[in-house]
Amino acid sequence: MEKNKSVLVIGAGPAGLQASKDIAEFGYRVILVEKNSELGGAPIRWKYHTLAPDFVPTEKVLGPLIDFVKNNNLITVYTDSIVESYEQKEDFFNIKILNLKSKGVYNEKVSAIIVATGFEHFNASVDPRYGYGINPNVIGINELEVMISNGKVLRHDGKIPKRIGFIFCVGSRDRSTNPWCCTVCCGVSIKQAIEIKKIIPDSQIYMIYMDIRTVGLWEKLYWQSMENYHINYIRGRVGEIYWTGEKLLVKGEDTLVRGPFEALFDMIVLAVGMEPGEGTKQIAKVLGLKVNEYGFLSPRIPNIHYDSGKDGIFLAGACVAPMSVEEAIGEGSAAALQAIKYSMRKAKKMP
Amino acid sequence: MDNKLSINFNDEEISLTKEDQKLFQKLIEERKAKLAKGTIEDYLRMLEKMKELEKKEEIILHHVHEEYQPRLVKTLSGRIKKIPTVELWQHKSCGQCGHIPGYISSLYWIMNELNIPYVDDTNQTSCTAWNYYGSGTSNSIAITAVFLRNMHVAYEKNAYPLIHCGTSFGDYKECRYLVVMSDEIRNKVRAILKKIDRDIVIPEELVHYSEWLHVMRYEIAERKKFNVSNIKVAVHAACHTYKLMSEDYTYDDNILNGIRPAPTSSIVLALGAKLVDYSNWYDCCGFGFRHILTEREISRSFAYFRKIKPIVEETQADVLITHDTGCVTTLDKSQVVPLAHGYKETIPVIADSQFAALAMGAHPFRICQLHWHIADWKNLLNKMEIDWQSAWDDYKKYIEELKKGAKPFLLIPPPRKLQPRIRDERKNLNGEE
Amino acid sequence: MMDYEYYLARLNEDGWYYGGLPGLQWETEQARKQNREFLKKIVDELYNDERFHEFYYACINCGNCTSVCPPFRFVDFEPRIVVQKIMHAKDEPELLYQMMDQYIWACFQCYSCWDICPAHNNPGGLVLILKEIAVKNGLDSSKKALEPYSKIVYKIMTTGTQITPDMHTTIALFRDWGPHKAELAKNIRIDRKAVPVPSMNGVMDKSWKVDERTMKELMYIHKEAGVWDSIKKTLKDVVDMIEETAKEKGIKNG
Repeated sequence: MEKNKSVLVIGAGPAGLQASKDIAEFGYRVILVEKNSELGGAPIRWKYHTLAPDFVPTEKVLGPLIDFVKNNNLITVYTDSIVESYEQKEDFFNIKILNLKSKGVYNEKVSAIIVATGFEHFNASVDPRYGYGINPNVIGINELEVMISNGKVLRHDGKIPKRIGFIFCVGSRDRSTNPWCCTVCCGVSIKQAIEIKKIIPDSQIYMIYMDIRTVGLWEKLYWQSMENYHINYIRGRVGEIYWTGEKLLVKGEDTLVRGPFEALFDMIVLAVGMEPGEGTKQIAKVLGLKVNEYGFLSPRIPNIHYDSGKDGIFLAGACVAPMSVEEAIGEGSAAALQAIKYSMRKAKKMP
Repeated sequence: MDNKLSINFNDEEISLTKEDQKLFQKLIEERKAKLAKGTIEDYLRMLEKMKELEKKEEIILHHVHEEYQPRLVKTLSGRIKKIPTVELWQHKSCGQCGHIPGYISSLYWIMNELNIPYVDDTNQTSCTAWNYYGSGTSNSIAITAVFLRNMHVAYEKNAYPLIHCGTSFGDYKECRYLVVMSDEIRNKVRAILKKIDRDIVIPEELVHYSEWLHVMRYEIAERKKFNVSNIKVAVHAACHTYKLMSEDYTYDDNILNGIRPAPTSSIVLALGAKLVDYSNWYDCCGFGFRHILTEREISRSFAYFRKIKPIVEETQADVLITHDTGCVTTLDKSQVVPLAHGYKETIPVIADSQFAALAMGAHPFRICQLHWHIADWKNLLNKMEIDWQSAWDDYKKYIEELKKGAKPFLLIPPPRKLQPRIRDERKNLNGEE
Repeated sequence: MMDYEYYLARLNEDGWYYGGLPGLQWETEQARKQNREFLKKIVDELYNDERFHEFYYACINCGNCTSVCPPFRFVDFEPRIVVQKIMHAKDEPELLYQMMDQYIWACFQCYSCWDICPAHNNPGGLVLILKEIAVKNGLDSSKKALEPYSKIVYKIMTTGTQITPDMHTTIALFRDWGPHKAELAKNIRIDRKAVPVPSMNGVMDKSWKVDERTMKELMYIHKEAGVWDSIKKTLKDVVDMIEETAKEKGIKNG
């Protein structure tokens, strides 16, 4: 167990899993620390049913990664654990890992660290406009994914909803809550709308948006949703939602066609955005990492994500900026290579 | 010759070299072609299906065979289109014949001068777009049946339909598309046609008369009698010829770099006149169909403020030429009311056939029938050095003779070489012998 | 729980309240008063038309169509709104009906919008289908729009020609086209004799001489294709006159 050939990966989401796989396949040892009981990060925690834009089942992408990590000899997995402290020595790091359930503390020596602590969905009860947590049938896209995975989309009283509204940019692009854009919520919401249409064919689905940011090859979701699935789009914002006892009374403005409107909906889905999670905040403190004005980990140069600015510590995935699963996987691979290069350089004492 | 194009923009001199200009134009060209790509693909699919239907003997195609002496042009997608040049069946336009007779008599006169045989049929209805587009008082079955009825008559006479009106041309493009692509429409139309003892004959190419002028422009220019090199000509292309189904109208890489439709601009260039450009080239004339008759303020306002005024202000052109009945009507008749309001800009508006005939020496009133136009054409004729005063006196004398009962002068088409197809004894409309 | 009766009372039967953009107050009110079944009928007629699927695709609100639309320059008409309201019509039939009054009659049918749409929608074509539906159902708006037009419809459906010389004999009809028109109106009969085109020479009641059989074929086509029936509700007098003329010429009914 050479300390020169061990890498610590914090976070077992798509970025962390891919990094672990690459490092293990290279032949180095991996210490994988995950705060939750399950591996897989947000897609597994929130039971994402399929991934945009091609409706690929989540297991098809993450399943192989999780299996590899569980079965590989070079990877040691600590679940329900966090990194409690670290100490930088000349050519290795001393790591203390705390198991949150058993309270056991474990020591490890590693040559490089990859931080892939991911994100958390915005908690919409912070935003009083939508009555999330007070009004029944106002849910987030994360909760909707669970319903879609179970194949049943139902109201709180068990009835099938007829008119469903998606409100985009909740906890995003908003100086009162989070000012940044979460890049993937538009595509994900449209994907979910299509999936609901498949489950409830005679539903009326309205996407209430400020902009449609289905970037790159995700654009086809937007056009398909209108042409093949007859999903409606209203450009505007919703100011207030009231519960009438039976339905939700939604007050908004359609800035392009209808003007100010009020309408009754059976269910409202909030596209809650990504924000830095507890794990990210905690590890930033422990490792002394710079955090930008939004709370995301700040790389040394903003356009180069893996370089944290601290010797031997590399960043990957949604802890740096909101991104899609495919981008996170790519970043995990990149950070893995950087970590290996660093370890090799340190071992041969090369500049 | 300038190698640079200089523009003064915000008090700053910006220059483009010739290479830059060529590059930009090439980029614009490519982009324009890609813009209409989807409708082009649909249209080409329709043409494929049309050939299939012919093979299956479900329809008859009226081919542009060699005896029509076709000439080839290119369309927006690069498809080669055959334009027949002789033995034409004149598909007249109702508005044109109703109140702009110079438009059609100039065209007939040109064909007579070039010894082109044609058929001036009385067995022709208008396309009835006044019902369909103008007021929603028709439907896709009726309009297609009217189209095919006219085409059947042309087929029987063994003459190729030459469509005069831009709207008829666009309308027939849409009808042909619908009848080929939709089995339902085709079956319903066939049932109606059978009852009047006709069947479905679809022309292989739909040809607008401006395309005929385009392919014959050099022959026309050869017979030019008046010098038009000092005449500034502005051209307006009708929406229905090139926007209603953007495929299937002539584009030529040598005329305006193939970015804009070639006909009308090409004949102006061939005659040697100065073709001028203006900013609102792509704008509609404001005809609006119903609006020119029953809501005239909007047609008038649009035609004057968006077309006439900018053209005169920007180019000081001597004449505005167009190739559609509606456009001639709107642009010509919308000038008097603004002048009464104190605006100064005015320009004569005539059809391309009238301009070509004038240049070839046709009588301004007996043939070109200029007295039916409202906007003043006297300056134009003066500049062309046509003595309109003595022509007018001559016309007045002719009118006096007609009043006394003299036989009117008629344009008789040259003798035909092709024979009409023989048909069996026809049943009358109610199916009785 | 608060009492929302005031708000609930102003929702329509589909559960929508349109605050009413200033320019559309009147249309919105008229649409609200209509019978719901009738609104749904109009939506169905639109969606079931055989041309609908050629003319209608996704609309991303880009505004290309409105930028090239001629009537948009002078009146409150946008092809983008037409496509958007058609898109939502199945779930909100009242939105479609808001256009059926004056809105669609502003369209010039120039098809600049079809030429330029990135999704290949045909707003002009959709407006055309809506105009046909308005005429077929005898809406007040179509009666108002087409009333001054009835002579033209009669002329074209009986003779197959239009804007015939006999419409120019009185100066009243076209006097705003210019004082020169008065001159023309005076001399039009003799001027027509001076037109050298054989089929047009001296013909006053049609644009060119049309064969009897041709006119009969045209009227027969219109009858069989259902045009007479579809315009009966809007232009009843005209249809009566056309039927009279058809009977005189010997076209039997049925």
